[in-house]
Amino acid sequence: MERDESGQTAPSETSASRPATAARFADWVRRQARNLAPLATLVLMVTFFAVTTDSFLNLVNLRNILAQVATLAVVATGVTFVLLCGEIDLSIAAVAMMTGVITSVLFGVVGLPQPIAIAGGLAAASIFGLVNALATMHIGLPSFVATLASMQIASGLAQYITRGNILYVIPPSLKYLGGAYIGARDPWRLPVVVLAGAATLALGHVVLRYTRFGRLVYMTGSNREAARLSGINTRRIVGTCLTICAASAGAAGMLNTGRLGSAQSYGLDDMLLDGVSAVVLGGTSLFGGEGGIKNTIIGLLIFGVLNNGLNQLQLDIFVRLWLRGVILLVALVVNVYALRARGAARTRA
Amino acid sequence: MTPEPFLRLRGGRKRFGGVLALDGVDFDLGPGEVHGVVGENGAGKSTLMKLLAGAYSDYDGELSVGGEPRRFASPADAQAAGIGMVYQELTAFSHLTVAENIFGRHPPTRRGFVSWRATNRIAGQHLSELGLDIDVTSRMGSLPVGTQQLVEIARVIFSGARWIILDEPTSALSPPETKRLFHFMTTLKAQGRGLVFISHFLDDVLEISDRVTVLKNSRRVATLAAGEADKHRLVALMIGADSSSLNLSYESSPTSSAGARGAAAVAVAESAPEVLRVERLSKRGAFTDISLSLGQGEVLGCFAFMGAGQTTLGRCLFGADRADAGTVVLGGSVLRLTSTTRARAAGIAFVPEDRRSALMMSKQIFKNITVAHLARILPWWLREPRELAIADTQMKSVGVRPHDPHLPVGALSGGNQQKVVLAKWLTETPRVLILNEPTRGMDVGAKEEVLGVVRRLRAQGVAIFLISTEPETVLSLADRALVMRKGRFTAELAGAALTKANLMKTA
Repeated sequence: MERDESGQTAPSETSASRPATAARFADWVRRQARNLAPLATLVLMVTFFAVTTDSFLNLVNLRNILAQVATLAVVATGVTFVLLCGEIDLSIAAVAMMTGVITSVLFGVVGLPQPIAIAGGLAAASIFGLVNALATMHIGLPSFVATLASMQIASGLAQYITRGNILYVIPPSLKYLGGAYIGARDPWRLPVVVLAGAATLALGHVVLRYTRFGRLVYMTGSNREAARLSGINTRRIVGTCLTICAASAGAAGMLNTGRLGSAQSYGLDDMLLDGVSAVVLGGTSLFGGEGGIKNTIIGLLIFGVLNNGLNQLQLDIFVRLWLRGVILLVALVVNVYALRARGAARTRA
Repeated sequence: MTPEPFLRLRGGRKRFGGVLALDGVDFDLGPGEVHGVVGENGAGKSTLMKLLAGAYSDYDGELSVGGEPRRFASPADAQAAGIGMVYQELTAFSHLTVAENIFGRHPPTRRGFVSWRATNRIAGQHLSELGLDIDVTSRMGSLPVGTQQLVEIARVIFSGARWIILDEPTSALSPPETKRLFHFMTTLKAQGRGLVFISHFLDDVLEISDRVTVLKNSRRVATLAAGEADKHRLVALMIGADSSSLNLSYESSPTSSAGARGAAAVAVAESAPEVLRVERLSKRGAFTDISLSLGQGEVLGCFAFMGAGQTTLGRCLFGADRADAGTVVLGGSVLRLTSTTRARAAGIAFVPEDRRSALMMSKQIFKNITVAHLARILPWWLREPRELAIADTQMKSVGVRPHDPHLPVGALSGGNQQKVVLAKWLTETPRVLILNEPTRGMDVGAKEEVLGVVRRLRAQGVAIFLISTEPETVLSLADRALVMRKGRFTAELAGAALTKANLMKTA
């Protein structure tokens, strides 16, 4: 405990005499390191693609980028909650597919009215979240293992229900949310799904930053034992986050059916890796307590710009796949280094 | 033998930003010597020891080893020159065996594969040469802290250390363990090794050291031979001119103050209504048949040496661990302590022994203070001005320095972090406060401030259960004290019987 005793604390103890504003400014800069590195990555990528391609930097394409990450934004919101707790959810893609299928079955096969079918889909997704929460917080399985199992179950259920078939009857409101546009002419014709994604992110941001619950998520993620020893019901906080994540995965799955105009038990496998890496690229810590929706937004944009830009480059599809992986890796490495620098700065303070 | 077998620092000066952490310090260590280093928190002890151990390369001054001027680029460099460092927080690999820990990264191999037989044989030989009788195949984590410490020291010696720096080695040790450590240090002295002994425990320093250096405000104020140093003199040098008022609670004769305290304790026992009653509480592997009664405005001490089960008892009383049997009665009704949330709602507050499990170090001070109260002080949304106002009040009342609620708690010194932990529980006055080691590892000034806060809470009628391994802490606060040994209460001391000698004797 005495690590922070003499040498290192000497400066901070005397900082009482230093103006508090200076300390606060230094603190602000350190906090921003988490945000600045991803932002720099984003600016770098935009600049690169703007220079190397003709088709990248125009309003229609930029709008397309937003449309391409909109569904991902919904699930990334939920993933942000889970990562802030220092947990992980590997079942998101499977739960998304399963929810799309269940909603379509409830609507098209069972014949329930739209709102009930949609509510039923969300309930099914939330049940998976609750099961994840129970397995993680009460039984004590690592979330990595618990959600790996739910991933299997959810994806298996989706296949069991559809028997490999594609369901074409889906609620019209989902078609609207996932596939319709508002506004008259290009570039101002905005896909509704972009608004849905933005609204989810905004909601997530408000919950995390401006509510008591959000504060407790950050505090629990920062030091779960300390939160527990402050009388906080950490099981409930983390469990709620896992449930929020599963529900957001369900919502993303439904939006995806709406976008495609059909529901099936396959085709969303990328969502897991994409969702988690978008959040991490934004600078949210995998160990909890640091980051947030603002970071996730930047991460989503990095992700969208990278995918879209690589397409514009008209590279060989087989080059694109591995190149994307390499670039993601580099961006993550840059992130980790930026965070380490921040950590070092804090220790010196 | 080198012509001048000394580890010597001349004019050591180290700056962090605009602050001098070490200001022209001379220090030397001879063969077969134990050199104690004392000083308050922030006096420069850690900086000095890190400088010696090669953690810094940018400092002024001259460091020489055996007469040869050296400037280490890294701790590995210092190690190669024979300087070993044993940290207070044990850095051993607790899942590996003692032998593996001793070898570290370079176990003996046979044709490229690790030779377990050689590992165990050589490690065992090394330990017995140092006079240690420890099974090298036991897992490090399964050993008592004191034994782990001995292995750590043996490890740095094995890697070639001749000059060994020990950072607060006795703070987690029981008296018998300390005795064993001192015996070991004497053996090392006889082998011609030099040891630096950094500690807050002046008695320990005086017992084992040949010379004692006192640091204050980044400067060396004195180096005394053991014969001319006593506790009173060291304290006077450490805190400067006026020491009489500050160390009153440590130096005052136990019998005279205990008499007054005894009278108060009797008064409390007779008049104060009972707040907490514990009946035959047991938890396997930790404690058995614990019964106690705690009155309003009373401080009940619980004295025990390390590992007597007192920490688990404290956790069970807050619902952080669950007891197997027994009842806890709070304010006349039985309390089922199944979770910390429940304990919290019933008005119990808890300060754990380790600040790292009480604080979110990277989060701001005000968030750490309000975290336990959000549901009561705020609607479902956040109102930062209200939080800041509350944090401001509490920080003032416990004297957190610097007074900046936006600083991350991790940037504070240990003593100030502990004040934040206490401040956390002041927003709503708790009915019962459980304190585990509230002042461990703190300098004299911060200790007094923390003790002051506890006294104020007692005056407000809070029932306080004070767990400590430091007799001074118990003596300076408790009206009565229970002594715990190996999971059971062995004595209850009050009045004139509540003395350091009695605490140590019964524990």
